[in-house]
Amino acid sequence: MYRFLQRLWRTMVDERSGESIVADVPADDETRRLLHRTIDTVRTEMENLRFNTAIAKLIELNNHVTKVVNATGATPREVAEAMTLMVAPLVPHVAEELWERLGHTGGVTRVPFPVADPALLVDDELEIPVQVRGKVRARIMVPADADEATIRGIALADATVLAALDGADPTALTKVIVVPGRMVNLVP
Amino acid sequence: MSEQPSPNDDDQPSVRYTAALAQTIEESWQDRWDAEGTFAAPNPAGPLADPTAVAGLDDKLFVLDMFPYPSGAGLHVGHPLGYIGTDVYARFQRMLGRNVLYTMGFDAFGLPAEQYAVQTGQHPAITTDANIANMRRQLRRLGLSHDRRRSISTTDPEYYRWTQWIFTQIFNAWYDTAAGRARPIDELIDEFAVGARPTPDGRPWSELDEGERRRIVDDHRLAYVSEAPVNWCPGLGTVVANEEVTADGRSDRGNFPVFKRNMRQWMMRITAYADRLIDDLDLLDWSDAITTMQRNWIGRSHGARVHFDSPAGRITVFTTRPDTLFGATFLVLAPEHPLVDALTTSEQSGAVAEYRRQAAARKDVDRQDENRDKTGVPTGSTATNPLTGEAIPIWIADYVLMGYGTGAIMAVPCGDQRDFEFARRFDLPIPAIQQPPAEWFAENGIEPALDTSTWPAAFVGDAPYVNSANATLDLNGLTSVADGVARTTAWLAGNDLGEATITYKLRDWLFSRQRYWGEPFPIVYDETGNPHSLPDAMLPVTLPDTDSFSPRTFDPDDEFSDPESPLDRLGDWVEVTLDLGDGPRTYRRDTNVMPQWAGSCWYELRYLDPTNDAAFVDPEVERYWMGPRTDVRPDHPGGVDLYVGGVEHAVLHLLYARFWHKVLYDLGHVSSREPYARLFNQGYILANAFTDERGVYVDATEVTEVDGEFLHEGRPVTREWGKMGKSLKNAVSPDEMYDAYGADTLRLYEMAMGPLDASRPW
Repeated sequence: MYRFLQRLWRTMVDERSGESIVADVPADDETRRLLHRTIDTVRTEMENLRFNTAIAKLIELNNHVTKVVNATGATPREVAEAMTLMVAPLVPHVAEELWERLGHTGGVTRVPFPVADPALLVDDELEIPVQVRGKVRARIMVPADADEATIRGIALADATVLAALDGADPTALTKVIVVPGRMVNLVP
Repeated sequence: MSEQPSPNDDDQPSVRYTAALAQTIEESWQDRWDAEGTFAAPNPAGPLADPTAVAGLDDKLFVLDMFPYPSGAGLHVGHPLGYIGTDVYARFQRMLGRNVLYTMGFDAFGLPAEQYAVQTGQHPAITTDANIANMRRQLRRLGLSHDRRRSISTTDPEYYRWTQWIFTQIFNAWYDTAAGRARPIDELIDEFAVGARPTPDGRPWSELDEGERRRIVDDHRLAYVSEAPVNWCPGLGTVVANEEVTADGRSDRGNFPVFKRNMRQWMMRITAYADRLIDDLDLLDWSDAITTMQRNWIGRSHGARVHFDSPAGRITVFTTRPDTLFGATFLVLAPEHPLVDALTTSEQSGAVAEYRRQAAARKDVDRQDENRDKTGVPTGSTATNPLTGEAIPIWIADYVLMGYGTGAIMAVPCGDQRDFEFARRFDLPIPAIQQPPAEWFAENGIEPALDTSTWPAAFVGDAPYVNSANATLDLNGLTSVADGVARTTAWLAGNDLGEATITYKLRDWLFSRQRYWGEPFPIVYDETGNPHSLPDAMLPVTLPDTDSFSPRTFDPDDEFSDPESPLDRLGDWVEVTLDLGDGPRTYRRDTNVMPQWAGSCWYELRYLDPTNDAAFVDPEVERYWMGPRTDVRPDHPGGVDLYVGGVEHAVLHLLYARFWHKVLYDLGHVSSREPYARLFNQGYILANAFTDERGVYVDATEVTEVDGEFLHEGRPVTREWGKMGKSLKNAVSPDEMYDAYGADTLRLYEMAMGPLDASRPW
């Protein structure tokens, strides 16, 4: 736990100079999505007194942010602020200190707890199974909102699927069942 | 806490988060929170009123910890598990915009401070204050976001003034069973005076003398003096409550023998609330484990009293299974039953006299030993089974005790193993009244038959009734015991042969202790010995100073010693001249003190309005923080939104506090029907504990491990696993953790160890 707090500190403060390493840059898409999924879970877990699972999620997020810092040299402000506010109920002293270092005054006590953006909680892509004659032969990535025709196109262009069809003509199958968001079933 | 910081590392960057930096940050923010009053929760009215601030916040939330006893050892890391949990929750809810009431007080009357005072001669108030100061420092260092303006100690005269005031409210109230609630005693007196309520013996109120009136009124009070069997513990020098006596009849504190004795003591009529204390559990968001413990403690059982006609008049038995009455083929009376002489025929008189003599020499526990061979003798008389009209023999046997039920039982040998054995032994009839299932016969290796002569044992269980009908009552074919009980009871009542009754295990609460370090009673006695409660203006009755703090204790086995409390010795204090409305008179103060549970019966209410000196709580303030949340659900009873504490208080504090709260509700002092709407039981911190060859715990910090063996002062000790605390001498102080890692790390560590309701190893 001590190490987690040291890591958290290092994602915002340069240990040698004491300078802030938080930058006014937008977070990359992956980091932002992870942040909002974390906010969503932490809120629920805190409300239900499951602090241990909230902490596990925060450690996961912090580990990811550490990688971002190692790669880019900075933590995006939107991530640093939300992380600070989320840890504030658990470790209020260090959170107050970081909040001030982020340029705020007046303390964290009454700052609104972060709220997850619902749009960022939905995955862009889904992985769905493709069955050939009722057996799962491949998994394909499809856009979360893809319609039947799109999914069918992706499935029938997949190399593993084509191999599983064992030479059958993908444009002349006996049966093609597509359940958007769930699965594809092919019968040659 | 395996991760070791390395503060002496030469290469260490200057602004690394170290234990030293953590401490600097933590102490500076703790000072700032104090200076800015960051956690002060505004009230809608009263001394802490800030209505504008209240209006600017969303919903309210009252988060409460079970407050600690300020022990001399201070906190150990096991205490804060719940406290950190509530603090995290309180801080989270503030960030959601709520007005959060969160503070911590001290349950500071109790035996350890008194015992320390007895040993050292130092007044318990001094020790208590020092211990409280130490614990306040430790709690503050943990960063708990308490509103410190609201902290109280139950030993503060400004606090126990209101504990005494509530006692006078309870004393001056009675339970109106028809209305189902407590009412002021003056209303009872008015009802007697105008004749709306008959006096116990029917004479008009105006014809009763002052003493008779006084006795009738006092018999109705919710707090009353009673010459009653109590648990006298000579080794402690005091009486103790039923709840404080262990299953083997010893004091839970000190493990001394406890004797049943008749003594004059204060009692609280908690039994009047037995039904509501059970029924209202359904309104609470508590764990099933705790509500089940409360239900079992109150122990409500529905049954019936059944009357059997006999040559000596009616014999009444209590049974929880009136539905089995068709199978009752004999009665068994305790040998001491008052009707035995009248029932015994001349042929049997010699045998009965001899049997009674033998029974008198036996202890109750031996008489109830299930493994003994059944003994008994017939009286020679018979009684009439009210359902079958048959004459059934009346026996006496020592396994029936006079002190339990009515001292007489109806024996249903086909459905009760003890009755079955008794019937077999003495060749009494065993008619079957239930059709046991095929599996039961298979298990016993016998042919399915209702001829019980083949049965090896009674059949105990649910099964359809057979042979259970008379001209106007027919249970045959019914499978539900509840239906059978209801129909039989109704039939008995309709024929004036019995009635439904409810019995409870709960007894009235013994409320006086012969101790020093407790709340004095706000009661004085006049020259005729009648108790008078003191008016509000004469409160508090402060605990008088003395240098002799212990009750007289006796040889733990000296059953016939008499209590002598420390206050008895203070003659100048005991004798007092007061004007209670009819001119100055001499009174004698009550020299008992309240039990250690009194102060915790209502402390959450004082947190709401801690500095109010006109009322124990302003009604508007109580409504705001604890009023029913009908927006949450229509039957919400009100109370604290989240109460966190250990399961060990399931039937003591949590039952007593509910009782007091309900009295206050009935008398119109609070708007909430229950004190704690939601209860959460946190787990415990477990740690290694070590015992020496005598089985005595040794200080865990002084134990070393050598080649896989544990040694204390060079001698081998045995390791075990137990709840962290004083008694197992395995406590780890949070101060050590603050120094080594800082409070934030300790907080995070305790919260990450596992779910809050699970016990976890340190």
